[in-house]
Amino acid sequence: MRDREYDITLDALADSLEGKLSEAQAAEVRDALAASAEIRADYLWLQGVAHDLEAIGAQVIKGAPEIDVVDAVLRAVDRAAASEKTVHLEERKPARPSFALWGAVALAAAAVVVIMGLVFEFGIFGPSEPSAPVASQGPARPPVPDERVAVIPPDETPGSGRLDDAMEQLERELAETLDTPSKHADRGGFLATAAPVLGNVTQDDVVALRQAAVSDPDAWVRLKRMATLDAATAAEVVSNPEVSPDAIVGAAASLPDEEARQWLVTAVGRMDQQKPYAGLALATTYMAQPAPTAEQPAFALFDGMTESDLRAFLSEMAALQEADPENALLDALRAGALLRLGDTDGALAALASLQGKDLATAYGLDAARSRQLALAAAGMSEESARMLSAVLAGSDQYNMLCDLARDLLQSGQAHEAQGDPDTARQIYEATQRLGEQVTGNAVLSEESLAGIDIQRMAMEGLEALYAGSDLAGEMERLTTSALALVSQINSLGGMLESLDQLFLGGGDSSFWNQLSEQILQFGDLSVFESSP
Amino acid sequence: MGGEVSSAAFRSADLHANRVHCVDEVQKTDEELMVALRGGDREALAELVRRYQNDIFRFCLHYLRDFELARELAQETFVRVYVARQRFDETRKFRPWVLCIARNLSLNELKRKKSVHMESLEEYASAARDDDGELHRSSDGIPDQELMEQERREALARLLDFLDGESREIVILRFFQKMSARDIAEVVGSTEGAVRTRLHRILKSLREKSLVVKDHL
Repeated sequence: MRDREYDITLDALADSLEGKLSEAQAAEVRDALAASAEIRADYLWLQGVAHDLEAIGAQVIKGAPEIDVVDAVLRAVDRAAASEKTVHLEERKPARPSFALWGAVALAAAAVVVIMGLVFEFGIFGPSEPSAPVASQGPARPPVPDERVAVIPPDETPGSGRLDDAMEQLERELAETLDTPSKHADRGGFLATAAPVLGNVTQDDVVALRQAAVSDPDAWVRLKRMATLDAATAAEVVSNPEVSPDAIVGAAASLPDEEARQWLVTAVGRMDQQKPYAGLALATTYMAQPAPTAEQPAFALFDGMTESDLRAFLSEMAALQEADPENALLDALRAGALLRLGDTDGALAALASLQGKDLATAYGLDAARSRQLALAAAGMSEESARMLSAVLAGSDQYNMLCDLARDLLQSGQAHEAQGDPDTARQIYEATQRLGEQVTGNAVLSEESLAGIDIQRMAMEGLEALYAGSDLAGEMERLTTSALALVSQINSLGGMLESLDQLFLGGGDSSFWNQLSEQILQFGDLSVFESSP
Repeated sequence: MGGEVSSAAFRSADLHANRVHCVDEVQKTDEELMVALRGGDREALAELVRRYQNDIFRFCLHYLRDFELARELAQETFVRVYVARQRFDETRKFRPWVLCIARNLSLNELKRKKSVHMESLEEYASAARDDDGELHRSSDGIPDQELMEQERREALARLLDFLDGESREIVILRFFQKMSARDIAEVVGSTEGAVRTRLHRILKSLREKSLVVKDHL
């Protein structure tokens, strides 16, 4: 893009076009232009683009009349001034949905959200912004992820009211911006429907379903069905001596636990190098993973596991941590199993270890690639398998991560109920940290979404814990975290809308091949970035 | 009779005082006007409205694509300026602050009126095509310079449509609104460095993508 000898950014060149640089900066740009053909090319390109962008912008306001709202504003201000004198301090404090009601709120919002996707699909501005009609001019604020800072009205002092508002905003933004339930609601029921003939699935079929999924949650269910092997087909895949160990890992997900475990051990043994995602798949076979029902729509990760299963799971975790010691998710999984076994000290030690790490991952990309290989080995065309695995990448990991957070938080609530708020707080805080680590490491939107959801759940727990106390500092910290999370939600929401637009925009086979390849190599969060 | 003369003289004096007052307001900086508004000077607000109403109107128009809605929000923006007058820090610039208010109102309005159809840049660019999707051509069948520019802009608009919402917003603030990175940062609640980094990344991405479709750009 530019000559390495010159640190001239395109932004600086744009400033240069408009004469906005200081004399020293302008001289630096002139030197660079004189010396580097690359920078000259950039400059010429930018010149044309700036001109074209101006023309596009001018088109938007073409024909706009001059307005005169002086009198109207003054009249409105007079009314506002009159009402200022009569307003009492008892501001309305809207009731916030309880933790238990969150699922219902989110489910109700889902129907609205898919429609929103269509509305914004034609918009210049994808993401919604926090509801903050009055701007703040506070001093420079510390950076938060995604380089965005939520607006914090400076005249509001820390306190439970402000925390309530922040949490409300967080819930509202998450419900309005993200299409969570529609994509994750059906976690097993789809298996009752007929499986497609894999060899007949075309790339166009997959793309059409992905396009339909923008407005039809059922399309996600059909995509999942399409991507899930039945047990007999999976058995054929794993017993084929020609298939790769990674394809075996992908196919084993559709086998009964015992059988899956045997094949996973075989696959791990055949791998040239240690692949932690295979180890996690192996550990997962000890989980009961009951299918959600209408009566119990959400489970915690370790629900239904026996003590021996939990111990076997911990044994797998120990091996996995040796292979991937920096992954904080493994600490969280260990802590969750230990809490189930009543080993609170061991669990808190695992959570302390988690707190000291930077990243957590559920290996969503590795899992998606192994699914691709399994589908192809089962007879699906290469391009269909790639596209299908790409559009579903991370969705299983989303469920696992959120179930884990639910499990940890339930343990925290149990400690709280038993009069041990300190342990509860440590669990909630570690869970919040886990969410940050997951989001921080995410290359897939599903992982990022899981991290955000985990943080939101943990904040709910902390908010409830702080409710009866006078911890102004803690509440302030939580408020800041909640507002920062709102910003992340908006950013991710915009990305998801853009991704929808990308699919709706259509393309030829070559385009879809490139797109799915990029997603499976670098994750869907990379799609709108420049070349990795 | 004498009373009428006296009354007329008073009216004249009032008008004169008002005119002097207005001249004073015109000479004040935006930030000084905000200080005056905080002190209860209603005319200071009127002057700020006069200065920025069309700027804000066009700014809102970029978001809303609706003249009437944009006019309403421009008006509402100044009401919010009045309501928030005590929060204004006069050591910082007024324009980014008021644009931030207008932006928040516009985004909230978009969220509230979910049925608002927003013409995409691609649709704008497509206006250059006829019903069959072909480029309008001059009589001799060869695209003239203007049409070639239109085609190039269409390709650019298509690239912009692939950007995420925040990136598109930054491009629009930078190139449509001609705002500096520092002012953009104030408007979107970020830092100048972050906006510069983002802008560079966006331009780099556009540059790379344009190389792929260099026939069009």
